[in-house]
Amino acid sequence: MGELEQLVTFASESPFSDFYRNKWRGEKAFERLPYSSRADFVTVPLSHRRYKKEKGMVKIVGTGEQTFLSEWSFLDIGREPYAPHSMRPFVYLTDSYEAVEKSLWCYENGMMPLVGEKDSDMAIFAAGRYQIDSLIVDEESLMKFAPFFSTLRAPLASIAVIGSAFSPNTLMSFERYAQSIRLVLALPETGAFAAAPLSRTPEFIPLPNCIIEHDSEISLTKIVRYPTPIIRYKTGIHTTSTGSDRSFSLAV
Amino acid sequence: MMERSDIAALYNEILDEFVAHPPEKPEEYWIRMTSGTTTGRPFLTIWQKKSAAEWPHAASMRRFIVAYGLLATRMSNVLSFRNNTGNEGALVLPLDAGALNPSVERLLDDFAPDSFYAIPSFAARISEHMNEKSRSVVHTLGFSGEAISKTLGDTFMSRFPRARQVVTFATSETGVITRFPCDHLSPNQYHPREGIVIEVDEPDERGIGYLLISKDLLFGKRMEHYRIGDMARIVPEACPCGRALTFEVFGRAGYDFIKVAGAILQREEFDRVASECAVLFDDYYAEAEAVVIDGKLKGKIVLTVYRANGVASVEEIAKEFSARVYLTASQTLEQLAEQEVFLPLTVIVSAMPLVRDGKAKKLSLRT
Repeated sequence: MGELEQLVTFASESPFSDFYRNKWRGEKAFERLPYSSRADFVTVPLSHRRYKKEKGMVKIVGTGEQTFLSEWSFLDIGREPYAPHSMRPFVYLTDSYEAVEKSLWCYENGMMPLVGEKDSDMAIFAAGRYQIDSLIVDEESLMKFAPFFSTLRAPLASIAVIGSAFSPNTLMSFERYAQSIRLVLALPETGAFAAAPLSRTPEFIPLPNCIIEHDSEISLTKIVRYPTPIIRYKTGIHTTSTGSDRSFSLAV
Repeated sequence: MMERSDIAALYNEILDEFVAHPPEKPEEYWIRMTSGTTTGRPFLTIWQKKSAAEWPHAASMRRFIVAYGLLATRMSNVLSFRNNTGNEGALVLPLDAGALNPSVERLLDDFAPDSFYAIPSFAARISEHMNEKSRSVVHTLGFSGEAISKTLGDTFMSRFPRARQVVTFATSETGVITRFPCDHLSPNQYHPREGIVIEVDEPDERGIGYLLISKDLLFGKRMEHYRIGDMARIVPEACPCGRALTFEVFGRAGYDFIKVAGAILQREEFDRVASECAVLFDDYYAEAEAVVIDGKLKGKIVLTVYRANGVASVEEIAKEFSARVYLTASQTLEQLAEQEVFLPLTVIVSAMPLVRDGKAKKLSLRT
């Protein structure tokens, strides 16, 4: 039985949750499994879609009435491919739950991160004092952090920009401030699933263990046994073809 | 004696050492920035691996909420939780203040917390979004960062009837300096952790003075007689638990505990009176100062109040508040005003809800 098939069997036969069993109603062929989405996560409490019980953190995803809980074990957090290893990473993200989670990712991967407070002046001051060598950031906070780069004596080793949408032309202005800038496609509830080096027309390649179906909108399956597995999950992210089967671009 | 600038210099040396000679396992340390909201700029502090293992009840904290304004403090507590070895399968939710809207009740119900570690005012706000059933399963309320008034403590007791309140004393510069409290301590009393030296500088006739802290830091550095800005006294009576030293904290000098014109203004007392005057106003902020009038030093208090519904009567509030608030052990503001030690209370009615910085400060010294 392949890994994908094992994941589907795991979810459909789990004694811990009926979430996917109720959704799939006996269907077992992957290509015919009904899609899931954020609406399902909002409707079904976390306590009813937990497939394993490992020590970890829970975060609140979404806004207003469309909020839900997303659970991540510390080990699963550590396995996400967010960024390269560095000596002194700085985590500066708009969403505080993502900031805590990415800081934990650093610890799980043998790094001591400094997490930046929301105030950009404080963040810039702290990053300078710590003499950071890498940055884990989203696009919005990167813009607020921009004044920091005028203080740099040498490019950072890396910048990882994490998000579900990017403005490549704007981000290109940061190109000279790091040896590598990587765009990481991720959602709070799915983790990372594709990545691209920064360019004016970034071409995203699926990350390991990620099955991306993109008939205009990305539907994602991650062959990982998360507390709530991600199986044929509609991401709301739209793509365009790059002409290659191996990669895709994001729709503008 | 060390002041904040001395401590900042120490931590800067530690940081420089860490950057120049990184340890073999950097993940066994953690770094945070102080708030910088009291005096001076913020600075970075580095600590060795954190664990909540000292908490006897850590293993029972299966659904743990961490609630602090500063991201660094939330991260610190999540890290302690992660590093604890007795809580396999447990979950932590580092709650952001922005999440406190009506929809959060559904999520808190789903998460079903059984324990908190929070700043008291934040925990009070969270409790307003929890239904009775959710609150009934909470067995531990851990607090730090603010003194807890009797009023607030009673509020927590009624909202979380099965919860034990555990208060520790911690700051971003010193870390946690107190042990898990024994059953004999009164509110705001603590036993220091091992390796922590507690002293009181310039004690007054009641023994209350400036809290001084001494402890070892990383890389051979030492914090020696650091005047942290809080007021405290050494409790002379021996604790039945056998611990050698008990100290009591009265809050931040200039905020929770103010000496003006020979009187002591304590936030806890102002909170008590505000609670008694709840029919007259919903929120308050008091600012005190010493003024010189006709060559004589006198105390002056300006009380700003807000009332959500109805008209606030300046005269009635001034009369009631003055008659009830004690500024010495035996004298109220009304009595001190009759003696012309203090000016009569000035009351200002705010048309808007009161907005204050930081940890819901209600009393401050105007300098």
